[in-house]
Amino acid sequence: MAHAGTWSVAPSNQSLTTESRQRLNIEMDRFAQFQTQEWQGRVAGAFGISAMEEMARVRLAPMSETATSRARALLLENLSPKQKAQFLLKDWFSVDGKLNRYRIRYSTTYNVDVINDGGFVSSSLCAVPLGRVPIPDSMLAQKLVLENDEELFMRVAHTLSFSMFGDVGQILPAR
Amino acid sequence: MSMNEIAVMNADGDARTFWDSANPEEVAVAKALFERLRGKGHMIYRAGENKSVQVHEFDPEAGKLVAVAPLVGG
Repeated sequence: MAHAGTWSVAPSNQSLTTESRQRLNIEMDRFAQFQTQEWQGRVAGAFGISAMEEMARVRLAPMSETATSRARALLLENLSPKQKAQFLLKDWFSVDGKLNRYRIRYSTTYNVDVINDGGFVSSSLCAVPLGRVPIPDSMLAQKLVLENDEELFMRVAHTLSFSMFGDVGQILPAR
Repeated sequence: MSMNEIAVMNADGDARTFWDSANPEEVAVAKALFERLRGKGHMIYRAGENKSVQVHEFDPEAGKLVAVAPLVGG
């Protein structure tokens, strides 16, 4: 069971401390798109093979290229022209909700950033469709729910306060 | 008469069901799928390039729909 602010990477691996688990998840999120041998070796060395196996099983088991391509096509069909341009250029797109402004990034976990009025990330959210779907499907689901029932998304999502990682600079222009 | 579709997200990307609003058999199949998905908690949206809208009732002339499984905290 995951809790707000705690990343649920390896629930069956009791040897990981909460801090280690958080660090592992951060590494995983940061490099999810770049599953290189160098990164896998680095994570395996830092956290142990069992953590790597658990991570791969739970999060990083690759989807087929066909599935990801189909999901990407579906996503592109359902983005506004502005969102499509953002995604094709930067692998993310923004969503203007009634409560907040969001940036949805191409990633597996905590990929929905809440953007404050200054254009900074104030927190990152994680809510995904039940079942296993390619990343572009998950991004489309997040967009559709945020556009139609933002409160539901906020209620379901786990939140990671960005203050724990420090300032990474302004990433979107202020409103 | 119009062609309509519903895309259901899955591990293969999506599965699409098409129907012609003038074909009662196809409409019945699509309506049954729509209601089955809703019964399983899926949320269904009319999307495209314009702002998306959640739909709660089956419309034979729905256009392009996307079905999303219930969200869970990651």
